[in-house]
Amino acid sequence: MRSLFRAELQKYCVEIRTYYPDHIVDLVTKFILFATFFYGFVRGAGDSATYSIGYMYWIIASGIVSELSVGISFEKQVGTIEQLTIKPYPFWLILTIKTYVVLVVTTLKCLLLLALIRVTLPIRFNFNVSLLWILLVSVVGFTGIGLALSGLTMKFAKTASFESIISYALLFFSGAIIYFTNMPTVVQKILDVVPFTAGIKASQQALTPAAPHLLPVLLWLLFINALWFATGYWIFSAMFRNVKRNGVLNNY
Amino acid sequence: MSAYYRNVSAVLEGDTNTYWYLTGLQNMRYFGRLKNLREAEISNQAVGLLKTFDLWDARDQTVGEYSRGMRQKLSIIIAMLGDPEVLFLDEPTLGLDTMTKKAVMAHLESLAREKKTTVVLTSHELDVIDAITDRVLVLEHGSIAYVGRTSDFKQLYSENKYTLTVKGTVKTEDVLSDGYTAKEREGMTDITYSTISDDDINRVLRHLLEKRYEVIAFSKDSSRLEQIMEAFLRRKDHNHA
Repeated sequence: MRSLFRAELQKYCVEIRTYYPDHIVDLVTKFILFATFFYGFVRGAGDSATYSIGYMYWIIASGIVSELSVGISFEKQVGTIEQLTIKPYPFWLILTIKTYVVLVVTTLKCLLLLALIRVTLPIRFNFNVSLLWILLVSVVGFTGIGLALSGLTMKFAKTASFESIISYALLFFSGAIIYFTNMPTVVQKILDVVPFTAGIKASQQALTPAAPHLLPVLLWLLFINALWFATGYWIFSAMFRNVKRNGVLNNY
Repeated sequence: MSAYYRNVSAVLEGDTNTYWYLTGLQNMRYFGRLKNLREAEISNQAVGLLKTFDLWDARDQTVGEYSRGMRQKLSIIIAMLGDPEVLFLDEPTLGLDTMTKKAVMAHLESLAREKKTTVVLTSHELDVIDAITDRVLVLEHGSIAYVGRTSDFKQLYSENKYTLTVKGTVKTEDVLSDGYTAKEREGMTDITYSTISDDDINRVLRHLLEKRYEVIAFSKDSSRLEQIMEAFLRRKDHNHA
């Protein structure tokens, strides 16, 4: 497992080094978006900590979703995907390790972005170690969603094209722009069991003076994240079996 | 399943099995780790294989800078990491220049002979199949049309045709047989005997040499798989008609 993590991490680092302008552009774009929303919606009207958490979760979640759908689409086009499916490690495990590598790198990018924001904008951040635990649990659910998207991208070439819609939908439901409490009750109930939003809510609560005990929050999060991972894994496995039997669709 | 994949490797679609933004060595490390090989094992095998396949000097170049032949060789090298027992290759010599093609064929032969690796390859290039395979499986319309030793296949579908290439023009009375076709090209004559016994072809050869003709080439159709495949397909078409 360590060997697999090392392989993926080193490959991803070389990839970042090769395509570094893309990452700079991404960082600058995310900064501009942050500043736009901050000055447009949040400053003076809302809670900047709540906003920042939602925004950072969105960056991490959209990074994972992008890697596991656009990344698979790229592997399909260049022809390396078949190589990954015939290795001693199961393909889902390779993808899960990729997710955690993306998590590490995206978190570093988030920290860099936060530093940039801290220096340039009138905003303060609070940090609590609970945030880290909540994020680590939430990633399990993201991985499930990513696996499901990978499976669908393997089979249907056009799935990756919807990545932007998913990404911006995640931004909408991150609570960064529209607070959860301002959303319809039905939507709020649904968002309670979505790992992404449940993680954001738990993180926001952890920063309040009347923060609930971490353990029950984490157990609940663990439950819904495990459920989402299992569902994502099931979709991925069904798609993978289908692809192995009938081949991938390469009609773009 | 994990043990199965540890002992099996594949090169699919030739030159699209590697990451172009990684160097040759980085690709080897990445795929070696995915095979769960130890770092020292990867390094040792990488040195040997890169040198054998003449890629040592290009090990630190990104694959994007490689020629098609170099990428093909790198794909085969990566597939050979960890000494798999079975190696599947899809069109391993497609689009390669003559020298690289010969080098790849020689390496595959030595892999099978020296390391006892079972190499299963698919190819439309019959000279490659002819040169390096022991057994052949012919697919036709998705069904197995023949499976067995390559030499047996050639014998089975041989039409006992002989081709002689002689310098200059050959007189009709020196051809010594009725069932033949002759074609002159660039100062040479190609004579093809389609129905002739072994004894008679020997007699023809002896006669031509006695008459001081210079015989440039002599071959039987069963010596070349390409000709046999043509005969095989013609026979199939004929049966369908």
